[in-house]
Amino acid sequence: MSVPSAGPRGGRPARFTADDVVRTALELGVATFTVSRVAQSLGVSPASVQRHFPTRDDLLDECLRRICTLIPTVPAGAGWRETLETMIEGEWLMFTRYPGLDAVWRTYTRPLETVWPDSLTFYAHLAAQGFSVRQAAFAGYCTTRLTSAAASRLHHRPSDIAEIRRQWQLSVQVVLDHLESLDGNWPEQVGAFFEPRRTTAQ
Amino acid sequence: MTSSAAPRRIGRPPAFQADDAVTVALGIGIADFSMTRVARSLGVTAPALYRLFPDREALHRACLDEIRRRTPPVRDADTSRDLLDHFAAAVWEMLIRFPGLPAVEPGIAGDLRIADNADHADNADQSDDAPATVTSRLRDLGFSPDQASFAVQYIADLAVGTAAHLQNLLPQFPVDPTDPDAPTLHDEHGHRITGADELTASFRRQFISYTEFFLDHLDRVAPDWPGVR
Repeated sequence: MSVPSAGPRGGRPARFTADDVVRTALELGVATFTVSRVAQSLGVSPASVQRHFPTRDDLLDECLRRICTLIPTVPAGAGWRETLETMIEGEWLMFTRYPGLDAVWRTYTRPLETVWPDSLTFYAHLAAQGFSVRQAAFAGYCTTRLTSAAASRLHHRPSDIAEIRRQWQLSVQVVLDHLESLDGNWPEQVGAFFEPRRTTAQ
Repeated sequence: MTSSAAPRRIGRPPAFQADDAVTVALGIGIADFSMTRVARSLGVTAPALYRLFPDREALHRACLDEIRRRTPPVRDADTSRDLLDHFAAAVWEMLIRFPGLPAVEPGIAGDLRIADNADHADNADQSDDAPATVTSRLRDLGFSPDQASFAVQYIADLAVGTAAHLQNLLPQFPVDPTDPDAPTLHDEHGHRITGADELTASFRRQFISYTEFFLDHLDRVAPDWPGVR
């Protein structure tokens, strides 16, 4: 299948890189892209895309790996507040830039650390300061809920960005302030929860 | 803006009412229905459906009106804490009853009414006597409009974020605990969650715990509640 109709090299296979594939998938939408639509956008055959990424899940992993680079690494020795703030701002960047990403995360079943190597450092940093996994999860999930809902409102009303971001910033600050006031006695996450792998084995 | 505004037609009356279309669309899911699917479920042609609703957007609006109508009003209370507790319960109930709602209308929670005088008796016209909302009730209790709307939005966001997570997981439930690929979720007692109802109940507890955490904060800083201007 080598018919690059709009390409300069008539008759020869289109040249494209794995990077082009990932970029195109992200442009089409991380929640909704299909391999055939990615191929179509690139003007190449699905089979040639599959030479880079055998399955949609493989391509999704690479997309998520790319997206996760938006989350800054938590500095070594960071306190709990700085750790949470870093994660929270990273999630805002991810969720607002990629519509549908929150749903992708929620149904993602492969080990998180394969696409986001730093995911375990969140629990490790908080554990180092005496917080249990479920305490860390309470803080992490509570703020993630707020961020994902704010991003969802933003996708519906992009022109309200200033107002939505102010509401969101104040909301997460309220969480952090109240955690601070509890002086270490944080609530533990209630209800359904995926235990992170390594921390549970400690 | 609902079905009553359907244009007057000459000829045979339609074999179905606008309400039927709304019921079918909500049954399919407010985020997922299409005009063709609704028409097919009703056993009518698409043009017949389009005579009642000129486009999908019109039917979507009618569905939202119906959701507002069917959602019980928020129970009133004398204190802001009780009022917000009741509000949280009502928002959660609405989001669970109408899956897909958070995705299409994340702002709907702010519209919830307070149960007092003559609520859903005649909702056709509510132009003059605006019914009390949680926000207006909080203002009666002495909070500024900014403080009131911040608190309402915060709880609505928590509910939407938590319900959306639940609804993404639910299609995989119930799970077979012997299936190595099944999601392994545990509740706070270390018990493996395998059933859909169990999962829903555990997410409700989670949402309530986030809400109580927030209400504790409001109590602590009262009357200086946060507010966005």
